[in-house]
Amino acid sequence: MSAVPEPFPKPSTVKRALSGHAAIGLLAGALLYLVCLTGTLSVFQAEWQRIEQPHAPEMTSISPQALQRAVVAVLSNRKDGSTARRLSIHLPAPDLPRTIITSDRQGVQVKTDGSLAGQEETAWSDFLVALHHSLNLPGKTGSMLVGALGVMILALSLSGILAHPRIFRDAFRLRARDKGGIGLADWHNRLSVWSLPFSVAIALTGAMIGLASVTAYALAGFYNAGDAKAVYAPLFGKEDKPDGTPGPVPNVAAALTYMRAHYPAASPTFIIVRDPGTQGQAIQVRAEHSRRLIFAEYYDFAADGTFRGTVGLADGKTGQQLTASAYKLHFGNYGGLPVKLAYLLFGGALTTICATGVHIWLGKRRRRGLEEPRLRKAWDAVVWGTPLALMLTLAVRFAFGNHSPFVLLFWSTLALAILAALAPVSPARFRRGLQALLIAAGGLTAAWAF
Amino acid sequence: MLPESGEPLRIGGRMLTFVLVTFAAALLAVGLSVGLSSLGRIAGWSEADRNAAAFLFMPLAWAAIAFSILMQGRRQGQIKVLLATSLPVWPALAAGALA
Repeated sequence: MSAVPEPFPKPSTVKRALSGHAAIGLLAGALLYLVCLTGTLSVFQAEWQRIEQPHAPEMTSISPQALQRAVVAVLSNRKDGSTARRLSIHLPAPDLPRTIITSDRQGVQVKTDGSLAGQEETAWSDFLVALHHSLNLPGKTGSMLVGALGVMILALSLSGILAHPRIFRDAFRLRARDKGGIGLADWHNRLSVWSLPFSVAIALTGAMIGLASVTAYALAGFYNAGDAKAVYAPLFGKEDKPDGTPGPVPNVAAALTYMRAHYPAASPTFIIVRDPGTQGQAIQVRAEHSRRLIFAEYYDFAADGTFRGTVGLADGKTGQQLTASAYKLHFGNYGGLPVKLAYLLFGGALTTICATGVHIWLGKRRRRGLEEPRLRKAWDAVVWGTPLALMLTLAVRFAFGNHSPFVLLFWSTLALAILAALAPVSPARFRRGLQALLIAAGGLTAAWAF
Repeated sequence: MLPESGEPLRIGGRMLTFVLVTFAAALLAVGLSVGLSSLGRIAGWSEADRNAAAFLFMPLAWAAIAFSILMQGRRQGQIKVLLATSLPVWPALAAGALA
């Protein structure tokens, strides 16, 4: 008689994986949900900017001469007489057909003829992206925390697969109408399987971007005498030493003309001028290459527009190309609207997975007789309160303008929603109340926006 | 995870697991990624390739170590995971320092 083969993975392994999966999910669930939701919405950053400021001048391209006029106007417009540390020029692109010159922090819209059209007013879009990128925390702390959340998604993917030995076999089994917890678990597991490649790609690239500074500091401490910039230099190029002696106006027109003549296949998206108006200034044109995942190749120019060379993100070392490809893969800004819609779909799935995970855990405890109405309401406050708080900030943006305190409003609304979970209201009623408030806030936003 | 009804809270134990999964595992992952960079240096990789490999490897290593720690039923097992994963760090770092 042959022995019965041991199941793989062993039941004890499955149990531990499930326990680990739940532990990570509970520990990071709320922040994961917030980051996934804001990340999904941030894919449409360009579209949000156009909604926020619908009447800004739009164009399919701008002439080098017109751009030069705009740069001169921006540089001479500085009221305090100081020089900007950096000029960042956004060139017209299909999803954001606008020319915007940002001097340090303030952006200015540019007309087709190069005259200035007024200030850029996209504070809500910036707030949304900052919320996703750093949870509105100062310095590098926020991006490191968000990077750590990416690591947690990777660990959740690993433990989730091991905790559910039949997860791939049951990939198309969906008992959606079951009310006893199976329906919710099926949605959670099916969405997890279907979106697994997306989740892993997004989590890994996000973690890589968010935690790069941690690794860079360690590498710098070991090899570069603590100079983290020296770690990035072989990847993104080295910056010249600043020289604050007054210099001429940077010849951005010459750089752009050179690009059009010598690299007609490359599509310039940004022009960066470091230390403009000084002897140490330098121009860098960042251009996309079609059918490439790299976010750009860097084309370096001297202040007078003389071409110096490329950094090598398109054709340099493998490490350069790999690093440059992580960004677009994460942000979903390649392939136009179809890719953005796919990111909306999969990002929505990942957000739903985060929300349902904790609901499943709470449901299991409830079925074991552990009634925790406040905990259930607190989780509902996170799940419904987060989009509600976001919607309120958007409504306030349209009602009261660009300078509204979005960070304060968002976090205080979310905190209030979680505190409201302590109120003596049944969980079902509490959830319905939050959903009604979300719909009302949505209506209010639409009314103010249109 | 929250305790079942009547189960002790074990706050200290849970906090220690949290510290191991987050800070200790992250630190070790950083060490491993620097170690990988050192090995790349010995193997003659360019600086760009070494640094990019370290950036990519760090989150992967952290996720794998965190997962392995949580798969251990006992504290002793968790410490063993940390010790075992730290083994490649030391010679790689030493070799990198000497290269």
